[in-house]
Amino acid sequence: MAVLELKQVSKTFGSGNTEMTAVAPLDLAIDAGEFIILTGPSGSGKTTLLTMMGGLLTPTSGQVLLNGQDLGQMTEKQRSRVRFDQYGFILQSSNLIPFLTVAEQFELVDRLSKQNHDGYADQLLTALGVADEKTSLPAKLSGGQRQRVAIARALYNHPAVIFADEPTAALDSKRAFQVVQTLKSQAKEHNVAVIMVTHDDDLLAEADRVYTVVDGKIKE
Amino acid sequence: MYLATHELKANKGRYGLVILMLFLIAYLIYFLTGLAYGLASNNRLAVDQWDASRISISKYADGNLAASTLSGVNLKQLNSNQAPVGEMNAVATLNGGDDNIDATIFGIKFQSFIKPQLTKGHQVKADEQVVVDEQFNAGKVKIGDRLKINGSHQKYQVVGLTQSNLYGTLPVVFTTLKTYNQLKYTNANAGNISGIVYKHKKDVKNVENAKIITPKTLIENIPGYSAQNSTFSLMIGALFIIVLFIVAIFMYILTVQKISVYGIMRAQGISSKTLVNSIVVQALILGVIGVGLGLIANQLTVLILPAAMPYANNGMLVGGFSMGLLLMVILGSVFSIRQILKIDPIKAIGGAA
Repeated sequence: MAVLELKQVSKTFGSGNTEMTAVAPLDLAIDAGEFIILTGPSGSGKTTLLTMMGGLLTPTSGQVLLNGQDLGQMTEKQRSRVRFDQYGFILQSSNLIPFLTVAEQFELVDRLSKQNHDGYADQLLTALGVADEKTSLPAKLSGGQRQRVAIARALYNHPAVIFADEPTAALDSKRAFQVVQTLKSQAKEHNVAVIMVTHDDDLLAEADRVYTVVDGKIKE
Repeated sequence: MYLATHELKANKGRYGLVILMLFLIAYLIYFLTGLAYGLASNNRLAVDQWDASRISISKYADGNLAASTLSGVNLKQLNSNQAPVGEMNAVATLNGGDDNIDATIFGIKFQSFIKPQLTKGHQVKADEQVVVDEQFNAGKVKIGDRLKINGSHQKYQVVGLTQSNLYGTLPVVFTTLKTYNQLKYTNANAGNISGIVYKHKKDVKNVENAKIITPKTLIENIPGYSAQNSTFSLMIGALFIIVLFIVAIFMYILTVQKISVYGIMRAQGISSKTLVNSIVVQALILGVIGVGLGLIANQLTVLILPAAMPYANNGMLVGGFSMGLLLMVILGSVFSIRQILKIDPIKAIGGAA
């Protein structure tokens, strides 16, 4: 069974003459461990699609199913819990909280989830080559280091799906390639589905599947 | 709490400035209130010390003790709870010096309940003796000093010191009714007084051409007292209201500036409750430290300022201002919570693409 499934999901903004279709009705199914890339021009609807899958934006029509559960039927509190427990986010501007050190980013998750991940943060940071930066604030890290910590943070709560919105936009092509390879290998290792939005055509080869979004319509 | 304290720790400089601003605002309010309340107190302390119930003064004096003269009162018929008082302003010189020292003279019966509580020396036993407030001559008066009053040839020896006995902001010189009559009417046996102070309501005596007033009315009619108080109250009240808005707006801006960070946290599924708690706790920490430092500085001010400077704290006023400031610090932050809860997730994630 697909870990994440979209059934006739669409999103329109405005109404009447000002109505604009951001995402046309689409079906999509993503399995655990799959690495999916969404690409397309700016304003084509990639992020809108990503935020609907991430439970941050309610679709105008259709269903977003996570492990068979319809996000649209959940309360905001339940969706928030899903994002915390089952999703990981890697954002263009970094998903790290600027006033917490690298180690504290993970400590916060432990505190809020009332769980102790016993050395899992160290394990992830070591695997991603940023174990020496545990006491650093995000602002003290290079762009590549920041995104590697962001990947570790996204993996930390053992998510079912990771959403990555242009995680390499601020990096040079060499770093961008390294970050994507790291994200992909970690996702495979932990059997996590990854949905990444990018403009960078050089990275498309890394994906299991590539979808192009143009004017709200998606094609593989 | 975790988010609140870690953000403060990571941005010590920024939040240090916020605390400094809150401290300065709190201290400004306390300082002005201390001066205003101190000045008001210095007008009335001697009357407060009486702990009286009623006062008889001339019905022609419009409540002003200095303008009141009661003649022909049989002072021998008054008991210790019916205290005659003669009041006048005077200028004194000390120990043959040339410096003029302003004072209020209270001629009293030293057996009555309004006799001053002494900090040193003894009560007046003869007409050429006086008890003076410690603030007389900027606090440089001592037992044994000799006063000349209003250019008189007679010298009066200081035999006792008292404290917190100020009237119309001037230190009080307590003397006998005879000396008072001598100084004011140049006749020690004139038998005039300004009023009669009653310990209890039941002690009130009918006096010809007199009316009965409360100590509160007497204080309100001290020349300049009401005008001065209403001016200061209005000034401090307006300042406080403006300050409350400044603090609230400042805290609002401070919180709204962090909306993108809160947006990221919301996108990650960190609950609204956690964010709201963090915002309120952080505002409370900043407020308590800022206001707390203001209170400490206020207490230090009391110690540092010269005794002659009218400065006094009123617990209720200081407490009320402190609570008001803390409330607005929190409210300012709380106003921004609505925006944080309604933040557009697309914006949080980085805009449409």
